[in-house]
Amino acid sequence: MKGNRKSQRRLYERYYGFGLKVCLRYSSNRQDATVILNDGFLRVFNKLEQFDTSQTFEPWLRRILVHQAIDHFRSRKNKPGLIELKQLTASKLTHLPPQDGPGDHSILFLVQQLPPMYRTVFNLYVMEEYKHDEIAEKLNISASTSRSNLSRAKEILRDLHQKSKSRGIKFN
Amino acid sequence: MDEFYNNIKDDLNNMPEPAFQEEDWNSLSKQLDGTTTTKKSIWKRFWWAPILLLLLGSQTYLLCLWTQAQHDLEQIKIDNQAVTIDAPIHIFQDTILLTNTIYKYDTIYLTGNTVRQSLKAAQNQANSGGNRLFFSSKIKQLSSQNTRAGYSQALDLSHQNNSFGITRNEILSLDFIHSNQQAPLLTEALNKTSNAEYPDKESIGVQAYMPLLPLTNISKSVSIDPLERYFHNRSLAPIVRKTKRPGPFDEFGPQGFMLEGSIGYNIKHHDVINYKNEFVTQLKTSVKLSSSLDFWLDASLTGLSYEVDQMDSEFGVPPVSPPSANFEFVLAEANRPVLMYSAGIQYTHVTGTRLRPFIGIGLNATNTFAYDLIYEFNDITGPDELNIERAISAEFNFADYAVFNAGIKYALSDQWRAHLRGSYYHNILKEFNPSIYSVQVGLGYSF
Repeated sequence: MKGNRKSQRRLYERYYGFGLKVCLRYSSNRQDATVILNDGFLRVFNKLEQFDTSQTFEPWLRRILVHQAIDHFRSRKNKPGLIELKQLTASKLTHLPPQDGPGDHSILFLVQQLPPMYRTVFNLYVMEEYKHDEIAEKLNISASTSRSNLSRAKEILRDLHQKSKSRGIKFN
Repeated sequence: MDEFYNNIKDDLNNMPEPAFQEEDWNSLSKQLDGTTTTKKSIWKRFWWAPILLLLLGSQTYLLCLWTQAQHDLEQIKIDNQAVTIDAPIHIFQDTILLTNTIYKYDTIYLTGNTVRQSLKAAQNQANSGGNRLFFSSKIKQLSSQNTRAGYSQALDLSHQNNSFGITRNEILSLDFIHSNQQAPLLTEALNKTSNAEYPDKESIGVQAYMPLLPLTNISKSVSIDPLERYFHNRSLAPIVRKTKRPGPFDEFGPQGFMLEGSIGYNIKHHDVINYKNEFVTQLKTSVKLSSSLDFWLDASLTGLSYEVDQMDSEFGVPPVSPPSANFEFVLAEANRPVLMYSAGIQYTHVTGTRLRPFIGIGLNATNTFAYDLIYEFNDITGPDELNIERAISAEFNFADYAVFNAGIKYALSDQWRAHLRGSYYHNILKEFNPSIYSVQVGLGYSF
């Protein structure tokens, strides 16, 4: 398939939704998610011969995309404040989530409001079910930092969720 | 894990998959074509290669020039020795017959050491009975060995050891008067000699008269210094008329090399986009092709940073969607570091003074490093701001600017030059790039 553009497109189109759904959880907006997705697919096309055809494709793709998201996070790690809401605190987000934006009522939107480090730790622990030791190694932090980040992420999510509910907003 | 987080996990897992977007595939397709990734990797990794090649090339050229100069110098020494001994009348090196601004000529500068050695030899010969006429202490010499009747008469002042000299700045014209007797014009001797030896050169002849040095003031062991002192502050009528100045294409070919460093300030203008003015550093190398034409190649490190309040690809700001309708676009900004290369031809007006104006025209290529385009959104319902960052890949644009230079050089010495240059970069490729006005000062070294 390497170099066969039609086949590449078919594969991309087939797994676009699945892949973007994963990437959206690791980024704060769709633009960043698309960058991660496309960079991930570049890896997929370059390493396709390593794929064990006796296995299913989706878990393999998901692993690659998660690693791509981690790389993306590392590359942006030194630029705090540029890609996220400035000075984000739960108390400031009283207006969130908006009530009239398309798709904004998704729980995904709340996850996307988390600061990058909290969001990444949360996803790796809750969604990918990594241990704190593994997360620490991947993000080059200590296991205790991973635990505290997860705890803080949960706290913010719960806070956001309750405030939204108090305003009568239901999530999809 | 408590129920709340299980619910979040379930919600996220069961979230509907986003619909396929054609533009996302197009973006990936471009990356697969290598238009983005290849450029990024090559220019990001090897941006220093052109500068290194430039420096290596210039050093190699310099080495060749130096080797050739050494060879020429040796040859000149050999030629001088042979001429001094064998020929009845000799014109050393490039004499006034060949130049119009003698002491500024490169050839004279290059042969200075040899001439000085010849002068010493001439002094020795003078002490042993020969007549000498020094046109300069450092530049050239005419010698006679009493074999040409007319010329010798002019120099033969009833003394066996005659020497005459004039200082360098006075070497313009000359004739001889002695004891109320008009000596044969030196012109005749010079014409006969020069035309034979340099048939392709113009003899400028003798235009005025110079008084002879009183014989009583000349000792037998004459040295150059007293002669120079004697003629110091004495005005002599210029004898060498200015001949035609060499044209830009006369003797066309590589003749020298110059390396310049500059710092300056770039002022940018665009009708819509608010570009920031920024400092620039530049390394420039040029090859001298003739007395007034140079080919130049330079590399400038600067930035093309901007702010724009319109989200439009035409202005380098591709539209993005805010995460919700609550956010309103304010402006986009980017700090674009760029390495600009330009090459072209420069004409320098040779004035005969230390100040030389120049103008130049060339083409520019720009290597833009990867940068982040930052979109600023304001929350219309609250105090929050949102910044969305979009990574823009490195790119290389060839012939994106036409470059016009004008300025002035000042010769600090034979090798060092200071310069003040104004440049205008006229945008001819990308509409959202600005026109650039640049002012630079710097130093150069001529090899």
